[in-house]
Amino acid sequence: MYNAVMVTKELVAASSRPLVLSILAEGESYGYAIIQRVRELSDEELEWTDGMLYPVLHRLEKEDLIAAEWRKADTGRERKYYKLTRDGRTALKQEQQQWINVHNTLGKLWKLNPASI
Amino acid sequence: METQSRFDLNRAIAEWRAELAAHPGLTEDNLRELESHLQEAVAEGTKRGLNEGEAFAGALKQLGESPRLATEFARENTGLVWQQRLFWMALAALAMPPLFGSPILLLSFATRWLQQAGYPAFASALHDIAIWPVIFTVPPALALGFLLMLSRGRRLALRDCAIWFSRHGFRLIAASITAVLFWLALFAYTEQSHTFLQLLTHLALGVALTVGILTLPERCGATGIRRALSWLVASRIRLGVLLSLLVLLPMTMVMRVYFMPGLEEQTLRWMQLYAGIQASMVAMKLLLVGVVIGFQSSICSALPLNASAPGTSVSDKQWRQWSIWMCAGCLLLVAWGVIQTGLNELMIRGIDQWWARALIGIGLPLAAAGWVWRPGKTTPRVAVIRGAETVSSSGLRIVSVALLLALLGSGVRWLQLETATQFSGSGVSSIFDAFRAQAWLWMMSLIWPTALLGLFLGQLTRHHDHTREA
Repeated sequence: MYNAVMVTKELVAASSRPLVLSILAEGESYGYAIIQRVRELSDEELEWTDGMLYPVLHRLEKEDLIAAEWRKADTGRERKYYKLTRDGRTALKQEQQQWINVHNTLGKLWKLNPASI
Repeated sequence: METQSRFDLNRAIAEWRAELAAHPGLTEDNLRELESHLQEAVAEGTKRGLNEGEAFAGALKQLGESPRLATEFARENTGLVWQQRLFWMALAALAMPPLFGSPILLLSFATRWLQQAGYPAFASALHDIAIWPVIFTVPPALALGFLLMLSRGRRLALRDCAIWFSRHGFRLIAASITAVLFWLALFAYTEQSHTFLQLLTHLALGVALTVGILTLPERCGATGIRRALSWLVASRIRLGVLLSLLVLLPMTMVMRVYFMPGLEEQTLRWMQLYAGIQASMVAMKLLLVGVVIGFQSSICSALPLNASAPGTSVSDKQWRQWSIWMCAGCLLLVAWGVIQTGLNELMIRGIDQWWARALIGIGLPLAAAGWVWRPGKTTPRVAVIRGAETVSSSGLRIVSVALLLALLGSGVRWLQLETATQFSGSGVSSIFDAFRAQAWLWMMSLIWPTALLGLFLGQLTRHHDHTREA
């Protein structure tokens, strides 16, 4: 039933948090650009509906992991830019460790090379 | 210069935005951000060689369907969703009593006029003949008429009428002042005084004037007043103090009588009782004021106040959702009436200590409010919210709850009447008659209109917004 390479909805939802934090760690960005970056990174294997990103962003903003600001872009269009806060960087470290733990646990069974930060 | 197709794109975006805004739980900022996203996506599409229509369709598909999108956002903003619902509930709770009480008022107005004109016999005959038909038929007839209007497409006319009034400061101010003057005149003439109505007129006048002046056009020289009012409503604390003063004002009149020297023991006892009842009434009104304050930040974005901005018109769906919560507000009012009659009963049956009255009158409502609105996800709060959503999601359930409340209400009223007859030693001849009369009164005056409206809306609204957390 499932496409061999398509990631399930649950896993996409679970990975959205570290994914957004990591993209923002590269520098401040706005909703549309974040989505484009996800597409580019995942070769379209992570199926994201654009609208789903914003609740994730707002949740992170509420937790003070990212900060938002409305600014006018060069095109004259207004965009809401997000950037990582100090708490966000700490949270990202923890997320990284958690995902690597999961990866390594499964990797031992599947005989993959262990990963580390 | 904008081309024709560019104009169409703007309109398509405005329509999409209006449809999305009809769902509860999206803030102005959310809408702005999603619109910005959509524009980026359309620009990207046109850059790849699509025309604007195709680019817009593609961008919409990628963004996700509005209902699903709204559900996601509502999950994030449950507080906002409930603020909006409570606002409509409070509005209905404030508007229902004068609406359905007006026929009786008009009748007493007419009989009094006849008496003064020198036809006392005719006046009493009119009163005796008309009072029961008025009570039993006019409120349901009003409700039915309203439903027929809704179902025959007049809904649009009604809606446009409401929007027309709310879109212009002058109209709103004029309408509110006329309505309030009418009510005040009617009450002065029939020599009836009612704290609830006093409060209602204060509140309605205050809110309508504020909104009216805030939406006055710039050229009216109202900038100073508007600035002052904006300052007043911009802070929840300032708005809270203002509204609380309005609510507490009628209370001071009670206190003044209470402290008058030379009152007899019996009168004093009744005054104490009255003060206790007043205290609980004030507590309820303060809760309503709290709801209005809670809604303060989104009051301007939720109402169609600004005619020039695209996407601020009220859609059918939004209208329907508001009506549902207004229905729920009426039910809440009836429920409160039942509880309050019970509380009064407790007081009459010999709770003499002032602290016991204060506890029942102020402590209980406040404790209940605190329990429901305790921040964080506590089990009782979630249970109350789930219950409210379950009841409001089906017309049949609204009707059942309304009938249950009617039975409960008539039971409590029967208890009260029994006590009253014991006290006075006369009055109602048969307890059964009293029970029946009271039951009918409850059914007809408030519950039937609510129930009918609920039934209709339940049928109309097959799709109910589900915002409960999974």
